[in-house]
Amino acid sequence: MKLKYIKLAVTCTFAGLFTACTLDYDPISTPTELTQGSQTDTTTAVLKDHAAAVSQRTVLYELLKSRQEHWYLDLLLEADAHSDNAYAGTTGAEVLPFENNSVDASSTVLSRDWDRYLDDIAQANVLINGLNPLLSKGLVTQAEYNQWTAEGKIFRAMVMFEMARIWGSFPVITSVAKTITAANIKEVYPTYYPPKSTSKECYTQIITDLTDALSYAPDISSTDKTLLSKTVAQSMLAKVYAEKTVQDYSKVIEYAEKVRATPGLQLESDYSNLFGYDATAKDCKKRNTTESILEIQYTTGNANWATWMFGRQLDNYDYYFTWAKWITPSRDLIKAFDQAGDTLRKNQSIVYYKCTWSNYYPADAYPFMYKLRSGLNSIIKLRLADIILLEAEAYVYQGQLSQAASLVNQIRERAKLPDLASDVASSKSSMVDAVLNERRLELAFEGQRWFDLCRNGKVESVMNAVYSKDSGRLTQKKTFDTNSYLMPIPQTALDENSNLQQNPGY
Amino acid sequence: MLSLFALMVSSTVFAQKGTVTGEVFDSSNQPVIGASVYEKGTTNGTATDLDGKFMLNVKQSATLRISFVGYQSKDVVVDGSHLRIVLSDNSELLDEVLVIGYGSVKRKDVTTAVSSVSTKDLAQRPIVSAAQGIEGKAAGISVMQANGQPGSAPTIRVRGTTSMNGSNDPLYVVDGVPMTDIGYLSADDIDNMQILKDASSAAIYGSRAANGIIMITTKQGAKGVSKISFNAHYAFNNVRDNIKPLNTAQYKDLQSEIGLVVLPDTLTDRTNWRDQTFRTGYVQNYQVAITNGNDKYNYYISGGYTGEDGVIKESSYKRYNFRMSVENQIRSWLNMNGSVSYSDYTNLGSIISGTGANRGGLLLSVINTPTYAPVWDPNNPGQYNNNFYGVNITSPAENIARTKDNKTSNNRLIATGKATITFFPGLKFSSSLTLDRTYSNTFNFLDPTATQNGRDNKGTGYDSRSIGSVLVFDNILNYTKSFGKHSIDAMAGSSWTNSKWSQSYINGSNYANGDIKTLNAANKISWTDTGTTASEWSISSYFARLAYNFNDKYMLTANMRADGSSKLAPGHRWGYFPSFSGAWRISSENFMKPFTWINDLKLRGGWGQTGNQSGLGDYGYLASYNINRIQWFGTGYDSNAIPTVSQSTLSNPELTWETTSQTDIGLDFTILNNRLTFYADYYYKKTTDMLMTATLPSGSAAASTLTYNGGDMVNKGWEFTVSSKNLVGAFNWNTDFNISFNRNKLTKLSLTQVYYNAKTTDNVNDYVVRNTPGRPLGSFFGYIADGVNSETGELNYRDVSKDGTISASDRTYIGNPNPDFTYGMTNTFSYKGVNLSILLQGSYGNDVYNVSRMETEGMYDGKNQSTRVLNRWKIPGQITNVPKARFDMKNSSYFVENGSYLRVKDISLSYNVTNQMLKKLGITRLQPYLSCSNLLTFTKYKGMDPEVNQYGNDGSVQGIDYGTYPLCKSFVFGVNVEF
Repeated sequence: MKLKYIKLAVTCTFAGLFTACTLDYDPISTPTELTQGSQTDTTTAVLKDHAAAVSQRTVLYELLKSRQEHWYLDLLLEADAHSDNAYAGTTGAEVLPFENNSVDASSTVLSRDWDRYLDDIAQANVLINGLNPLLSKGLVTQAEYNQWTAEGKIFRAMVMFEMARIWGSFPVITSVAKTITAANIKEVYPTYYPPKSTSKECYTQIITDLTDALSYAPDISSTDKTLLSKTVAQSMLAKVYAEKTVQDYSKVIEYAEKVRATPGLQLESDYSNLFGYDATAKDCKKRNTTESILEIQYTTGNANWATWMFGRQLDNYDYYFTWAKWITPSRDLIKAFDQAGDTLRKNQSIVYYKCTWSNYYPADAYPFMYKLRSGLNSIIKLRLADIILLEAEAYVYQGQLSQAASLVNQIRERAKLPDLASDVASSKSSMVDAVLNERRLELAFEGQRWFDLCRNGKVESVMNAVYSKDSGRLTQKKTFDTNSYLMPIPQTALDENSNLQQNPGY
Repeated sequence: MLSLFALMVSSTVFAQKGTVTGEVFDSSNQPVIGASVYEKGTTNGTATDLDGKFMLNVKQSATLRISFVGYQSKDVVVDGSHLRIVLSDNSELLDEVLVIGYGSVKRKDVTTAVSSVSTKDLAQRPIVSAAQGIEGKAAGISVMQANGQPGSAPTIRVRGTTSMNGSNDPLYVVDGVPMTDIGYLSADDIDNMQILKDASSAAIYGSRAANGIIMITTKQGAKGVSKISFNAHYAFNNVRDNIKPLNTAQYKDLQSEIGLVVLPDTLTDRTNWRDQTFRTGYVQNYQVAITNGNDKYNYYISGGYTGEDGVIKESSYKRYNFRMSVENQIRSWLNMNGSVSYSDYTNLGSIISGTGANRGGLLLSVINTPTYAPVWDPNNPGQYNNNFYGVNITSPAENIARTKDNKTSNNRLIATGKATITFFPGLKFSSSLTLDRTYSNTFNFLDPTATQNGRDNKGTGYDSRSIGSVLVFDNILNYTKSFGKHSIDAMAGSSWTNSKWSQSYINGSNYANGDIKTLNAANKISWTDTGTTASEWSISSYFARLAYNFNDKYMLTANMRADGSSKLAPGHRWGYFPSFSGAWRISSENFMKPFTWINDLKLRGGWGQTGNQSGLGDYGYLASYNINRIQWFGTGYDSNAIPTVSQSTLSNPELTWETTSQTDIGLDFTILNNRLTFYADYYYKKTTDMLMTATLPSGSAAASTLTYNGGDMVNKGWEFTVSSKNLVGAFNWNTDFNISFNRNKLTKLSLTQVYYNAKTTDNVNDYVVRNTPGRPLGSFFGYIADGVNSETGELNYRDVSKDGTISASDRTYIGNPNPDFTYGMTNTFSYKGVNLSILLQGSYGNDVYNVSRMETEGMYDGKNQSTRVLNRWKIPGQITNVPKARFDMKNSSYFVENGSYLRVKDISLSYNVTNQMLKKLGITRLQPYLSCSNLLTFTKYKGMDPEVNQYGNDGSVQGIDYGTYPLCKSFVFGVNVEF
């Protein structure tokens, strides 16, 4: 009898032991490396198949659309509120340091920008590096490979260009780091914690990417200006060569000429077509303008959100119009428009509304930045007027003042303004200022002004003077000096990656 | 065997019988009603009547066993006379039975660190949740009521925080079933709780024991106890009110100095926003339980209702609970136990907190909303006023309205079936299967007209439904054997847990009005935020324990557990967690014989390892991707578009267990006729391979977050518990005191070395917590403020880097939220049925970072401020400790406060009514009681409550007050009735 119980006991115990079931579960609703292909020691980027490549290319274009915070809003803070064009607009440490020149390494704006620009570069790297194995396996055609690589490189160069202008330099990353394992940690650690490259290395990478892209990027399309086209690469090259580190004015002129020679690309005759809103059609006035080189478009159901940061949203008039907005036009800019008699561009750049706050102006006539005025309006990343004026700048520095003046006058003509006075057009130093001023009025609130001042070495002279000229501006906290040309590397990035070094002066 | 059984039965039948009568009393000479009286070895028994008397037919010279809950059982030999039996209280701590995980042990035989809270402790004060019962009662356990939201669960930490990103919550084991949430359980259903603190006791739950285990045993039916009990209480709650806003004149004065807002001259005080926000809250709690049983079976059925209306308007909590447990000795060798518990609980109107009044933060808006403003917009009926002359705030009334239709309801069903087979005395096998199913529904609705947010979004709705099923299948074989002075207790078993979870969610907007709130009335259904998701995980475990006891003098216990988790990487899924502990009862040694005043002296020691994998994503080791929907509508868009995927986390093919190794040395000491008991413990707890959500620098790979075993952390400390029966006899006075000292330090991080957390007010927009190796977890980081400059009115920030300017490099560590020690003391007095219990509880040496004050004393924009700013600097030369209006505010030591407090957590007074009238009515117990919670708090803390923490359960952030729902003072009236 006892034996019987012992048997039963043993049976039960084994029954218990074998209740253990599988521990293998594939994720039910999350795509993972199991479905997307895994990254191993030998594979540095993963695009499993043709569809994955198509998806990754779309990811980049979607980034252009969705990265409104660092690639548009913050850029205006860094270029317009940080210069004489605008005030921060609201209160708080997020924005005020840009207006009163007290930006330091604790800026959360710079912190998020740094991370996200680098994130964007990583996404481009996935496409660029991932296409190679697909080509050798015959999973993408040569033509697809060529075009998509070119688009990826233009995207990467554009992001790196913003970083180079803001911080001077950054870690140049063009590959995708391997998966960390206990065995390879020593080897891969430096790829995850890279040091800063030199400014020269950064710009060289940008130029290489753009030059590579020239051959295979798609041609610009008059019906789809959202593409990373050949003209985008040329325009970017013009802009890159204007920067101090790699300054070469003949190249600026060379690429600007190519852009200007692009068939179908011309200034919009009506400046308001660029930023207009059509209240009857409840839509943006015009997409794919003849002047656009790269624009990011938004439509009903997928509108931009950035508009609510600046003023009224014309497609939703009262939408969150209850709190002070960012990037308030400065008295100094308004004065500049008025002095130039430039009502056309002023009215397209600045709008007055009655509001409930009075931070910088009386509440009953409060100016707002007007270049993004509805959720359906496009963000214009690159347009011809910018390139024309840049070419003019190059001519001025090369001493070819008449070519410069004729280009500036093209812009002034469209703005219904008289040509430059001949005494202005005949002096190099006054032409430097004239081009700079024309850019200021033409490109106000397009994220250009600060970088224009940097390029022309005018930061100290212009910015240290503006606080006393502009009665609405907050008290200046620090004097602008040679170190002011670059922003501090965010403390969060320095703490995260001890191989980085702070820029001088911070 | 069967024939033997039959023989026994028949011999009973033919034995000679007689009648025995008797009375049962307790030590204070009160009759014990309902005590069970049994003839040993038979099913023959009865219960005492209302006068404690009984009568029973028994065979001659039979032995009677008399037992009753709360008393030591007593065996009496029938000698033909009228018996007078006195039962003594079962209050000797040494004989207390502790549940230790797949088994139980007497307190005197324990080799490890276990704290215990019993029914008697629980019954002394009105509580509705298990956690409340632990607060202040046990050494080494911190129970922080992080916020006062009705129904919110407190944060429980056993011996400090062990993990930065993984879960730090203890594991709950209710009647043997592991679970992470016990919100369903009514405190009235709890019989006792044991907290397993050290690794060697918890190790038997190896995989999930790193944060300690709270073992809960619910009330079960008992043999011969036939009882209906009813407990009702009603409580009034009030909020602590110590912060006052400026009145309109003072506000205008302040605004003229700040200079951002232009106000008309006609404004006068109109609204007391405090009255618009707070009310007297109340709690009602009714619980009924019926229990009965005999030798063969017993049952326990209970049901109840708890309703709480929070001190903040529109916030409430309701819970209906039902539980049934049946146990049946089907055969002499087979015991079946089944229990079902069902609970339905709903939270309504959780407030917006942890953000400023500019984003709807309710508590802050009470101070920040100027008093001149009306509640309603005079020009737009049905809309809350939001004309604050450009100040970006919404009033408390509007903020409450924003969340008043937000509701979360849960239905939880836990059903367990358990069979225990006794093969022969000493060898038992038990098998149990439990289903734990939770259905949860969150519904949010925002009316399209009343609030600004609602108008801007044209009304929004959200409906999320999830269902989770956890199956637990345990099989345990247990063997106990004593031979001579040796006894062994061996156990081996397996456990398998599987969880399936799925969710659906819809977001919608554009409602015509607020009449119909369900999403069929929303014109737009969000094309990006609507979908379904699901996930699954499993844990498989094997474990064994061997305990050896020599003559109650030397005790050894060894545990081994192996766990496999599906959440970890293949090849790294199994963790092995051993533990050893031993005890030496010095008092049993011969040389201790002369010391008769020592009842018990025991030295304990143990070492063990436990694992942690909770807090991990279900597939944390895999690189995961986000699915991004692509626009398919509108001209120029592909109507056949498919989504893209983009990588969101990195792969970790080696993800494995976080392991905590713990050493514990303890001393148990009982003296003076069991009247003074003293427990002391020292522990050293080291967590290695700490689970982290590591953030790598951006740019190197497609994603920058990685689940990684990337750090070490140490917690070490002392715990002391003293229990004293100061006075015994007619007047009883007991004191229980416990105190715990814990030191926490993050000792290593393998990849990224610094993590920032907890951004404070939007105005400063900077992190205040910086975690890095060498620091206690959650250290505050910012500028050092050296008082107000009497010339400029600015705060003087210290130039720590000595570079001549104040910039980011001057930030340093400015506070530590970890207390030096925490303590609790309970004094109970009883005299002739009157019981008074006082619970004091406190914390010493912890800092609180008061973000709320940045919003109420920051003076940076048009928000109203607290009256503390009346002392602000105004003219050069003025000496004050409050800086000028619009001073340069940063995260600084100016807002770090001493969070030490001593709190009269609870005072309870009850009276046991005894009179003959009640007995005639069949009422065996009538005990009305009065109680008061949080009556007094002694603290220097300036905010509403030093105990709150906006980040509640977060391991890496503690001690942040940011407009958090405050705790309240509570007055309770209740009654316990049994019949």
